Amino acid sequence: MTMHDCPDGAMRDLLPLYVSGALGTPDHTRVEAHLTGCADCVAEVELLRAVNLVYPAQAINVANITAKIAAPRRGPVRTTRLPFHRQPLWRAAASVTLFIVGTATVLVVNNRAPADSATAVAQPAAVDGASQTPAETTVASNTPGTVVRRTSNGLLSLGAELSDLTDAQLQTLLGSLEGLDSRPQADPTTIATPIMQERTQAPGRSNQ
Amino acid sequence: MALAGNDERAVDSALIARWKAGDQSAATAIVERHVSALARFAASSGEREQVDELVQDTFVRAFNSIDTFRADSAFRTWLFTILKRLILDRRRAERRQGNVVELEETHAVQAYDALDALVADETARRVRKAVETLSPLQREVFLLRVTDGMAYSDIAAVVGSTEGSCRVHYHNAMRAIKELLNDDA
Ligand SMILES: [Zn+2]
Repeated sequence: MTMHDCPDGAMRDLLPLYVSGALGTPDHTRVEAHLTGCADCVAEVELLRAVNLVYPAQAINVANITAKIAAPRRGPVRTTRLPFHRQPLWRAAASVTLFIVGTATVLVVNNRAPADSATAVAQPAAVDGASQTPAETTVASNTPGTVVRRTSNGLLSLGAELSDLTDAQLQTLLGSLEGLDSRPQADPTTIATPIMQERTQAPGRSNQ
Repeated sequence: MALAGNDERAVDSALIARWKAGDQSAATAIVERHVSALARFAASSGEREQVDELVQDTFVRAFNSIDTFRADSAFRTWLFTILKRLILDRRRAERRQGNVVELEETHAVQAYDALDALVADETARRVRKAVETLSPLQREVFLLRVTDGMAYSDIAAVVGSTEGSCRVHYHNAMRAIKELLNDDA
């Protein structure tokens, strides 16, 4: 067999997509119309079909794969956690930062006594705003190992002191952060607010 | 009739959103949509022994880092780039360990000769041999276009090239295959 190329290059570009079923209806129809009058493209389509036969889709056990896919991180519960010493430093640093932000938030709330409900809700927003410097967000979530170098505010300088804590102290701290850490990946802007709300809704206080 | 590209993206996006919302069955649907194409790519890249493992690792990685997926590319293309990276990593590791499995053309042809008996059709056998004579890059581009119907822009993302050169690779591959088959005849 001797095969020649159809002079319609754009049409030839569509042929593999036609064969693999990737064309939308208008292009599909256009190709079929062309094929009725072009022997070169018909031969090329036959060749492309042969290629598809030679490289068939393989059967793979889907259940084996999905069994290995963890539940979504934003789902309800994360069941496995690394031992603390194997957790990346940035996560620990981010947790410490969040803890401080949360504590600072509560302190501010508590210091607004006698706090009426409107003040209790409004004030922490200012604290949140202060904690959302671009540097902090970037550093905490994306650049492990640069926590100290790239920040200038007081909160993140705590990252430098992390290494001064003993393992036991860190474990204790982590324990107290359990509730925080079970939330999805550290994100100060979304996590700080719920902390504040939990604290402000403690017995004896109500923002309703 | 297959869905056009944008519809495919919409389906993937919807499934991803459902999975993120806690619907585990959406993960199965996502895997079912793309598993065959990935397996075929892994096999045609010369990784016949490890297809299952490579494809599985691809999905595990993808789901673990699904937040980094940008919907401006097709989800399948993104999966292919992950698979491609896994294949390259594996080859690098094998080279370090001294288990050099370079995919020379002759090697590939020999490896496939064992399957000849399974390919009853003589034309198909010759076509396969012709495809195996392509350079690894040409073959990758050619097969992504032919078996998966990928856009050149998506192929470029997978193989790390440009849209224009992928188009050239495809047509060069087609010409080479035709010449080989014409010579054969
Ligand atoms: Zn034509």
